[in-house]
Amino acid sequence: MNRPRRPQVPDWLKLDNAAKIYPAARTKGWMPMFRVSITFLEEIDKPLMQQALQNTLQRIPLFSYRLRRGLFWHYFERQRAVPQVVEDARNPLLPINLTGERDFMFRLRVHRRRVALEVFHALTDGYGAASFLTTLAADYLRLKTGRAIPPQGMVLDTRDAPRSAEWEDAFQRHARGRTSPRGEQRAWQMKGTRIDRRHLRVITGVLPTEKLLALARARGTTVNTLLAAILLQALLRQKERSRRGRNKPVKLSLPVNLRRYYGATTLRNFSFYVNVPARLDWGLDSLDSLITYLTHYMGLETMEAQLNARFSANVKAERNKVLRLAPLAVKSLVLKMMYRFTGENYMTSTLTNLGRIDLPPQMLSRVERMDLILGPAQKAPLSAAVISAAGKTCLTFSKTISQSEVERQVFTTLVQLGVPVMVESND
Amino acid sequence: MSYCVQCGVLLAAGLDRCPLCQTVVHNPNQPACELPDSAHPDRIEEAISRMDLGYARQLSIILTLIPILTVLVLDLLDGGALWSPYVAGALVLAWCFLAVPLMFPGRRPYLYVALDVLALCLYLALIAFMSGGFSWYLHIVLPLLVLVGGVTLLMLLVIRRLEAPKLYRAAGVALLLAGFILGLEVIVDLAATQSLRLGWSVYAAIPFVVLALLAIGLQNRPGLKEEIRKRLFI
Repeated sequence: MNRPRRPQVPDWLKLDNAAKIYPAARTKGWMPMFRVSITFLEEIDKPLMQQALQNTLQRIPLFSYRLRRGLFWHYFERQRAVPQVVEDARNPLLPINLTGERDFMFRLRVHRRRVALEVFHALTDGYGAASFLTTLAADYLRLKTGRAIPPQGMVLDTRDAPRSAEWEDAFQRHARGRTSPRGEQRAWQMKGTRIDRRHLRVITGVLPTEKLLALARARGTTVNTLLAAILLQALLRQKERSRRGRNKPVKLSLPVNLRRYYGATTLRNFSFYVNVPARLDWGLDSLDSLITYLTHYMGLETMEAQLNARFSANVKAERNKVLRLAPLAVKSLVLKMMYRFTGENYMTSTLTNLGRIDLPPQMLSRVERMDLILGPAQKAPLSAAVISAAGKTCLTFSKTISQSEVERQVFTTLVQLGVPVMVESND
Repeated sequence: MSYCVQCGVLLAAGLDRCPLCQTVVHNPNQPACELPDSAHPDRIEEAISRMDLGYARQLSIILTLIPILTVLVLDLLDGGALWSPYVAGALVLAWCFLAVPLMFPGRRPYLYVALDVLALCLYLALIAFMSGGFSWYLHIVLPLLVLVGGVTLLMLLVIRRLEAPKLYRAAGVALLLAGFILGLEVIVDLAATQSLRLGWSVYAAIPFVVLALLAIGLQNRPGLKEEIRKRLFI
């Protein structure tokens, strides 16, 4: 049988449309990052994990690029080196150094039974990172047990050749001519006592997926909408206690995976977001009213035509000749200002949900759970992330303030609704 | 594992208080001293303090080039490059003096000094060229700049020799200042009279030489040094 030809992995890549803002937006002490991790049932063998990382980088070469600066745009340059697996730290998601010769845009951390992948958002989104990590975990288990794990869902086989579709900029491919304006109303921002800048407080609630699913079904909704409604309710109550910004709505940013609309298999950024506004004086004072509101609002906002028009506006801006001819320094300044004065002003908090990760049965028997942590935003002090695997759903709050009222209300609401919650923290 | 009596959530092993409400856990079956380790490591990682200055470098170059090109175009439209080279040269000079040390941070400052002296030499050469006479430049300005640059570089070298005692380094600086004064008179004399006759500079250099000898002598007599330190400490 003829094996398919190995595609030529490009020596360099242009940044995808969503990634372009991230290198410009980062500052000395802040970088848009996130972390996805797998906890095994047994302690991790570090040399084997290093070997698995090497194999996975050959299968998913996208992760072996580093960020470089051109005259007009940033670009990714391929490098042959393999980064070292490092010990985990109590304070996750510290900015990665990208200025060195052999600096990658991700970090692989190990602590006892847990392996964690911390990624700079310019490289990929949650789906790409989860695919890389589950493929790495599958290869690690193959090396450990000697038995191959068949590819399934986002888990790839490290013995296969990489596919060029995995590093395509799907925004460029699917953008159309019709665009929609990008202006929005500013959101109410939560305030609190800032903690040490190098520390990110993480509180994770581990929930049984079946019970959560049963609760969502009983309420006639999805897990995603249910959790978003509970968080939105907590944020609305928090705003009620606050004296500032009474005229601004609470806005919850919900990322949307665009792959399911276009059947794309890219491992680069291909997601968008919907900022859902909410106010108590709109009658959104009960959980049921919030579920109904979210269902209809998201139904409208996540129509393909609507999403396409919104991301096409970004692609159109990127293709603008004047913008393209501006030197990178000028472009970066403009993008930094845009991010500072628009992007984060339009949201109070974020809730990202990677959904249920479909792991092969050979992995399920060796994996305890998966976790997802969003890095801190520059202004919004609280973010939430959800991921489900091996029968457990992990809802993780990451924050830069010491107050915990919002997450307390979310978890106590879930307990009151009959879903047991196990809480852990890096405090 | 215990439940939080306030929130009703199960607390992970290793937690001695609820992370949501800070209520302390009292579990008689599992005292705090017997709590298993937390799922999170104890190690706190330090943040990176290095900053990527690439944008700032590019931006500083662009911000310098824009006024340079503007004045050049305006001047050319006005009938030729009459005044714009002065402005352009001054902007490049300012960029060398201000932007380079900020945008290209290095551990050794010698390159900055060398670059500043070179930039100043070139700018003054430009002024000499534009004003139609190189005589003053070659006889006074260039030797003076070379002297100032050389003495500054040597002073930096002496001051940065951290392994040497402070008094030796102070003596070195004083001797260099004495040398600078002597060199200054040599240059001025040669430019003005084409002959060398040291006068005022010798008297001006003597205090520096005396200071240097005092510093060296003091460093070689630890008892005297300690006595002075004892009486003069602040």
